[in-house]
Amino acid sequence: MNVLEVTALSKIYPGKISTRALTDIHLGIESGEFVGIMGPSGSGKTTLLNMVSTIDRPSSGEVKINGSNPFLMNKKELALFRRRQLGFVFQDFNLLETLTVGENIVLPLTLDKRRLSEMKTLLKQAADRLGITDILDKRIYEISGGQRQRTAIARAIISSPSLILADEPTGSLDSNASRLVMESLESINLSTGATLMLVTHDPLAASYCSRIIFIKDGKLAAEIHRGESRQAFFQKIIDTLSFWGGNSHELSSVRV
Amino acid sequence: MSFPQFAFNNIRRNARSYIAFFLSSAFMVMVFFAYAVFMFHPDVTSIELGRNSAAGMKIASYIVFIFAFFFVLYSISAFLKSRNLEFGILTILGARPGQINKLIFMENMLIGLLSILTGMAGGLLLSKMFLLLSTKMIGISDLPFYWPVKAIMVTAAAFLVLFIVISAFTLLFIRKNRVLELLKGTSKPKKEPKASLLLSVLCIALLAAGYWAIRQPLAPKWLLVAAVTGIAGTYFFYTQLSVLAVRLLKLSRRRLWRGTNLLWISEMAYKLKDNARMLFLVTVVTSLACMASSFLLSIYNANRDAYLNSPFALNYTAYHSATETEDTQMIRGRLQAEGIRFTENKVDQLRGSVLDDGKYQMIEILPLSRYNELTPQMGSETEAALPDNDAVLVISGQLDSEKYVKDNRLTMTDFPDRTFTVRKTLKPVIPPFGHYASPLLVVGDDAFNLLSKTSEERNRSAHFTRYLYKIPAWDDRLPAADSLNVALSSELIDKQSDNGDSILDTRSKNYITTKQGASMLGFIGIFIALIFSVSSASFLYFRLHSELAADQRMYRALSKIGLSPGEMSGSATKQIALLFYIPILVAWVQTLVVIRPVLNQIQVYEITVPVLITIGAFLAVQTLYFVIVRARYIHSLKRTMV
Repeated sequence: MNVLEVTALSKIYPGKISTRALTDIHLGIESGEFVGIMGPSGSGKTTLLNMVSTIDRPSSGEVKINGSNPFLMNKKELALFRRRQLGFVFQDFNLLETLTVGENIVLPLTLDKRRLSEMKTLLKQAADRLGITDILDKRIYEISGGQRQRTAIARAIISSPSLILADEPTGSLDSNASRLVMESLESINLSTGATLMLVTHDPLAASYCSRIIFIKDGKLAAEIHRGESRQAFFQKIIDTLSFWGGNSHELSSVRV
Repeated sequence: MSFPQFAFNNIRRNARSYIAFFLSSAFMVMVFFAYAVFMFHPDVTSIELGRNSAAGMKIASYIVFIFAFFFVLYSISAFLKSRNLEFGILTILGARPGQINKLIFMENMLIGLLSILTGMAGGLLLSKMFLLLSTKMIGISDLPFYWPVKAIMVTAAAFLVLFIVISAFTLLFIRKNRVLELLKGTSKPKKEPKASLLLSVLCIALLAAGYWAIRQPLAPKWLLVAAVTGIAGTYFFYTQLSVLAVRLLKLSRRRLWRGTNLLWISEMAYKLKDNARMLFLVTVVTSLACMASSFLLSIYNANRDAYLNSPFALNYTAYHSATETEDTQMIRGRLQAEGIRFTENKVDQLRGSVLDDGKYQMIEILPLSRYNELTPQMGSETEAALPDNDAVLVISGQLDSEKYVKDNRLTMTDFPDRTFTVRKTLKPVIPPFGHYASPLLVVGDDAFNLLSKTSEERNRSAHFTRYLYKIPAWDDRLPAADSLNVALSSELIDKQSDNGDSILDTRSKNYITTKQGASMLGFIGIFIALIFSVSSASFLYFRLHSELAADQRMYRALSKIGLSPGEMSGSATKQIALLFYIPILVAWVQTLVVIRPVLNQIQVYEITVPVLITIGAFLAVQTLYFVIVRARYIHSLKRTMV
């Protein structure tokens, strides 16, 4: 069954010269999938993510998450829906400076008024999974970028959402921290069967996905699946990018 | 483009971000100036304020100034924070620190001068309007508009110095920051302040010292000590208490990790130091306003009670006066001519005195039979027969009867061979023979005759005569300033012979004199209270406004992970409510503590009700501000939520 079902989605930003950001997107993500969305800057991938994450409204078309259409809900229901059904990982972390690492992670649960013992157990599980148990009592400004992003991931998974949305999670991290973050996401996908949707333009990060959808100029352009080898998949991504990106000499492609 | 031009253009083109800073500075100048206009008003300075009230007004002006200092300092630092990026860019473009300092200094001074001018213009308009209003509403034409040269000079000088000092301060702010921090616009979060045992002890000591000082005999010195220690104590109270409060709130995870508690409690803890300072300032200002208004309201009430509880309208006392007959005939004649029904009581009395602690306390003596004849007019009970040396003491509730009576015994220095046993002490609100009459000793008729004989054997007789006029038509209703009651009373006082041996005391004249003095002070008091309450509210608003951008960012991020608008509103409301209502609560306690001993010393005892009324009024006004500010704030937060 599809966790995410996008049908005939279009987005037009009105204005003096209206901009067509997305045109007739059809997309489905099955439970347990790890899907990457790639495309050059301005291709509409962030717009797509915003629609899926219910932050922005589509001009036409439909988004269904777990069979329900979030755009038919009122603000309160929508907030509850985001809290329970969606998990977010942002490029700039969006962690609260005023809270400790642990408090940041349990925040969605406290908003839901869960029992304290339950929150403690879930916090421990999530922190263990991301290897941040030691820093739970630290403040956000005391930890590194990679640790911040793993904190954000822990916050996204703690309520076991139907769909985890990641927007350039490695965008502001160095390569080592990026690798750790992507490995965490992959292991979460594999061990808990969580469904993930990742928007990135980093081919290395994208190579952790099981399927990648390419968008160009607001339209679906291509789709590739990962085989056994991540190395080969990475190469395939580079090839597709250079093909669809238009400038094939932009990236030095290494032929295997 | 020269450097001053650059500074000027910076302000002109960046008007939006300067306007908040400019307006808040101008507002503070306006407040101070309007206060100064009243303080230096020729008619106010000429009122017999007494040293203590004058000291009180001085202390209030210092507090206004300190408040203005912090207010301006706060708005400058908030304003500079928003311009960190600009300073960072200037630095990497190679501006020398001296040049940036010069830029900030010039900008600050430019805005400072502008706000001084605007503020004074606004203050002039405001005080003029208020004077007009007071004249129209109550009909006291006592405070004419004047050209406040002194106020202008004092305000201009004070704020020029203030802006120069603050500009120097802000240079320190900037110099500390690294270029990177300036460019990124982030500074390390402040560390949570720690509660310190030393400071807590100091806080208690300061508050205790203030409490003690306010109970000393009323003197400018003690008032100043009380103000300084009280204010310093309040500051530490907030810095220490807020740490404790947050620690208590964070104690139970079960409570902390529930709903939006985690959000607002952490937010409060994070801004603890700022919040403590803020609460402190608002409290001091609110307390001051509350005290001023409670003080005036209490005096007003006491004055009203004095009129309503005085049984006799006119009280003529003659000490062997040659003009006794002439004066009383004149009084009777005038009353009859105006067609006023009255009863004249001629009362022969004796004077005596009691030695207490080396001081002579005057006392009046009256035979029981005469006292009982007067009781229907005084509205009191008749007393049973007083055999031998038994006596009844009628003493104002505001006086200490132990000064006169020791172990139920009373011996007068004039009649040392006779000791009275005080069988009963009556304490009416107002003594029957007027507010300022000495305590009255009612003795048996035989005893009185004996005392009278003893006195006549001496050179100077202790005899004196009172003429008490009961005028039922004037009882039970407070006279207006232009009523026959007041006009006639003034006329009689003017007409009585001026030989120093007799005195005419009228309750309506007493009432009107005090009332007019109090109502002029009252208008100033209300004006000041109003200004203070508005300025404290605007301080709170400015504080919230300067944090709006950060809060918007935070709530936007939170709304993405599923914070509903209702939860946001709840969390923000709690924070705003704490900022608005804690100061009111503390100010109320402080007002009660301070105002009681001060008023007791000037013989006003009914205090709780006036304080409750004032605090109620402040609560109402503050609630109005709270509702407005909260609505605006939450509205702007809601806009950014997705």
